[in-house]
Amino acid sequence: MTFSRKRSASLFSISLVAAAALFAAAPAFAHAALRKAVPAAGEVVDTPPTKLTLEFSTAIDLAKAELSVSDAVGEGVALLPPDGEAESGTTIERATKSPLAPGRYSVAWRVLSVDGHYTRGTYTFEVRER
Amino acid sequence: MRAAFAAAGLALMAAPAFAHGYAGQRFFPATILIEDPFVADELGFPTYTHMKGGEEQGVREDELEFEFAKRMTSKFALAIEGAWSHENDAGERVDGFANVAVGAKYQLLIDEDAETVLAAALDVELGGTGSSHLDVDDFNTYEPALLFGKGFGDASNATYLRPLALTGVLGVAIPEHGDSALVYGATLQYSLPYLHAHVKDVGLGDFMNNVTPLVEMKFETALDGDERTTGTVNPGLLYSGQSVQIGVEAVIPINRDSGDTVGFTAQLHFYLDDIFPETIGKPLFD
Repeated sequence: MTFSRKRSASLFSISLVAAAALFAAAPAFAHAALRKAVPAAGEVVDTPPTKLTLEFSTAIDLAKAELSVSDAVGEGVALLPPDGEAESGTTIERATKSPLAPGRYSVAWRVLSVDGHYTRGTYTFEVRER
Repeated sequence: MRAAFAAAGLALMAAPAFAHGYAGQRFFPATILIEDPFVADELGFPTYTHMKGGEEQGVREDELEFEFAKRMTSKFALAIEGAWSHENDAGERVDGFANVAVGAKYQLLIDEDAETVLAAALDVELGGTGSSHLDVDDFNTYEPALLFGKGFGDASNATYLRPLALTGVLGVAIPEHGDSALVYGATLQYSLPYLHAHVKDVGLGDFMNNVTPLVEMKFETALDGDERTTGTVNPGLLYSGQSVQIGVEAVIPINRDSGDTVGFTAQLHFYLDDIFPETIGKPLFD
């Protein structure tokens, strides 16, 4: 049997299409990765934040989402309970009880995506002295 | 340090089922050349590779591969892989199937805080299952191997080194006939997802925040005889989407015995445990 490179490329294309078609009908489940955060990882902000916003790549169980913030000496920062009644969504938003004082802060999160997988992460940001 | 303290606090809570490919907050993408050190439900299809002189000097080779891995338990998986190849030797063309290979992998360790993973694997190339006119081996080759991964997120004094990760393999290919060979290799990865989410958001944008530039390298050295070491060095990019990964790499032979010119490889990789979490994407027994 003979075979040309052109046919090889065609076969590759067909394989791609077939694979895509195979999974096109699959539900959009996936683990949750941090897509965007405010303040962002490594960011230095001039205006003291009054809330933290974490947006994930897929829907998460908001009731099981965990978020903590600690200051430079490891003291926990008080966060207000979430408002709103949604059970799932892609965004966690937590207000601080008071604007954050200048200094370095650490954020730790853990979320359960709708496919049943946990992911977690940490990052730091800084509030600049004015 | 404080971040690690906070993370440790969260880790003390009920043991969860973490997504595959994760050690703590480190995501290790599935690499093309080096087997990744995770047990998972996954499908690599297709993997297309074009090279010249990989097996025989002057011969152009195109290969389409698939690999399917299925978890039996959360720590143990079985896999099967096959390939269809086409060779063109100065106009003389031949194509057919390579030998089928089966494998087993066991997850020995996932240390979340140290971003360290370790797995043991055994692959068996089943002799005589490929197309005989391709001169495939008619005997089995066994390849036990150790697979490892280490993320450098704990390099707290070197911020921009924290997205780095290393994975690797060390094994021995033991054919039923002929000389055994040491099989070894590694990948060096710079995770832009890790940089963006855990170190510093430098504003690369959504697409690049899912890309991992990497270099893979794999070598084979005969333990007996005087054959030269062969292997390739593959620089490339992996894009990790929600449930599908796309990878593209150049294939650079390390010497003439490994290939005549630079080739390339591309792969679609599906995370089945993310796509079908309630059916084929979960362990058969748990």
